[in-house]
Amino acid sequence: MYLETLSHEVILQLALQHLQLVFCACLAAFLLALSIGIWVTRPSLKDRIAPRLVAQVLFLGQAVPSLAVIGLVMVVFGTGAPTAIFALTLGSLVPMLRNVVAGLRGVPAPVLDAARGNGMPPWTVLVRVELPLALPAIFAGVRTAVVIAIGTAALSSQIGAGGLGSLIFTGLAMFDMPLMLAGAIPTALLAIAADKVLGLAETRFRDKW
Amino acid sequence: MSGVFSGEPHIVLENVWKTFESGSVAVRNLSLEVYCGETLVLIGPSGCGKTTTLRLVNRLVEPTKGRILFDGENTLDMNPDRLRQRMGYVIQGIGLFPHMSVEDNVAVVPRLKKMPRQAVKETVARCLELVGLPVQAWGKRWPRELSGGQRQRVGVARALAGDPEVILMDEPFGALDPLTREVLQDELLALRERLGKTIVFVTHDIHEAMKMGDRVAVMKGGELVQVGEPLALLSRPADNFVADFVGADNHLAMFSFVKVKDVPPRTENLPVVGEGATFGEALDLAERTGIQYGRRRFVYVVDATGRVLGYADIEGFRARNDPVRAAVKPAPSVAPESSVHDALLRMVENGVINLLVLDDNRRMKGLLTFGDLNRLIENQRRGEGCTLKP
Repeated sequence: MYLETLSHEVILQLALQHLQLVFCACLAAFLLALSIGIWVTRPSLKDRIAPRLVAQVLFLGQAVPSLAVIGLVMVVFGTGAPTAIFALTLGSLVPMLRNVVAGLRGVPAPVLDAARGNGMPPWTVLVRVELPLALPAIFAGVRTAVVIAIGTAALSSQIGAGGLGSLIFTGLAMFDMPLMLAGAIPTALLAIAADKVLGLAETRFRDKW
Repeated sequence: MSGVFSGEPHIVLENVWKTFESGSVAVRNLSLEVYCGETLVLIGPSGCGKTTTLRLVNRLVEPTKGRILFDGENTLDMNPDRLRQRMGYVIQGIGLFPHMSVEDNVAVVPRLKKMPRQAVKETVARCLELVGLPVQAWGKRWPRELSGGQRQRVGVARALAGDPEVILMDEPFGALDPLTREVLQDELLALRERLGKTIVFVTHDIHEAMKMGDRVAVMKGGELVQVGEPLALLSRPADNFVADFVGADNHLAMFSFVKVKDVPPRTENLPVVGEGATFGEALDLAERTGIQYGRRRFVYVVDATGRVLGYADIEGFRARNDPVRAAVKPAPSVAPESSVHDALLRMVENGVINLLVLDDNRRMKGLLTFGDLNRLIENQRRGEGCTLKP
């Protein structure tokens, strides 16, 4: 069996590679989601067409399966880690954006009124009032997106970006159950661990006030 | 503090219109002046444009036509944030920042104004003290830990912290239970006496309007129907709408708007003696003033500093030379700021027809009799106004 030649170091290395993909993609997705989310919720833009259109297109994008996204991106950018990161970013963007928008829209109107009415400039309202109050929702979005991305990143081995997916797909191809599990179990553990850790952080934000 | 304000206009609205994008007209050709140091109450049924009018002042809403002057300057020429920092803003209910402690909420405007750290701290402490929530005990609490009344107090403290020239209040006590509302209204009245700020106050509660306002502006359908002192609205309502709204034909309702000091109470020829007087002197005085309770004659007794000790029934005196002091009993009294309604209640509770009018220092401000109240009703019925002033 191939597994016997598989050392712990290899699994660890693949796991790290896996996390790298997820981290880069989620960071990029987070920054994008935050920017777009802030942009579409500005009161001065409320009735403009552009932000609504952007949001609609992105939300529609969630319906496209991850594997199809990866395939499509590969056609354009070729194989390798950057392509995988790009595809993962697109996949994580929507759950994050959804929550950024929900969080910012969920700030109670009287609170916004009080902030502006007491003379806070728009930027201060955003930084000192809106974002802190939207934080729990934003964080929940990050948590969902990271967990999904850890699972989806397993597919990126298909385009040569490595990660724990290599073990799973090799195992599947060779009917080597232990090898497949050597990839699948760490992937599942990573996802569960990420969910727990981020969940803990989320409750801490929420309980503060 | 009621009375005509001859001071400079602080805020002027000139032919202001506000049409929303939906096409609804919230404010129609409104012209209104708010004088320095007065409390102007905007009142009307819901949808009458009173809140929009308030928000026009601090530019949370911008006029479609017309202009608004603050200290003589067109607000549209000013930086809106700077403008709002000069105007405290208190709104109903949940306007506190839930993610900031009480002291951070109050510190918002001082920090926006870039006050030095120490000054912010002192301002926060002073403002929380003013609303009865000392910073040591309350500063670190979260808004969710406070009762509705306490939150509203923090809201007032926050509005005061920037040392604004004007305070705008949008139904600040609307969400509170009646008892707490009364308490906060009284506290605000007391604060106003101390701070002398110009206040624009929106409410839909006519009792609150009459109690808080130096002048009351009644609005309907986006238009200003009448503006004037509370008693002027009662005695000379501009039309049936105002008359119905203020309840001018309801004498008992009127009693809760008219203050004791506005009746006004009698201040001359009162039966008052010093604590050293004898029964003989008291009796002579009582004869001269002619104020009696039924057939019993009595005098009020004050100490050397002018504080009222009580009343002495002089019917049952023993000897003309006995000191009147020996017969002093506590006298029912009422504050000049109390409503006539409260005064009447006090009379009924104590079974008397004369009430002392005493200020906070127990100094005599006059005497209110049941006869005064009777004449008040007669005047009102004949349409001669709702005070006894000539």
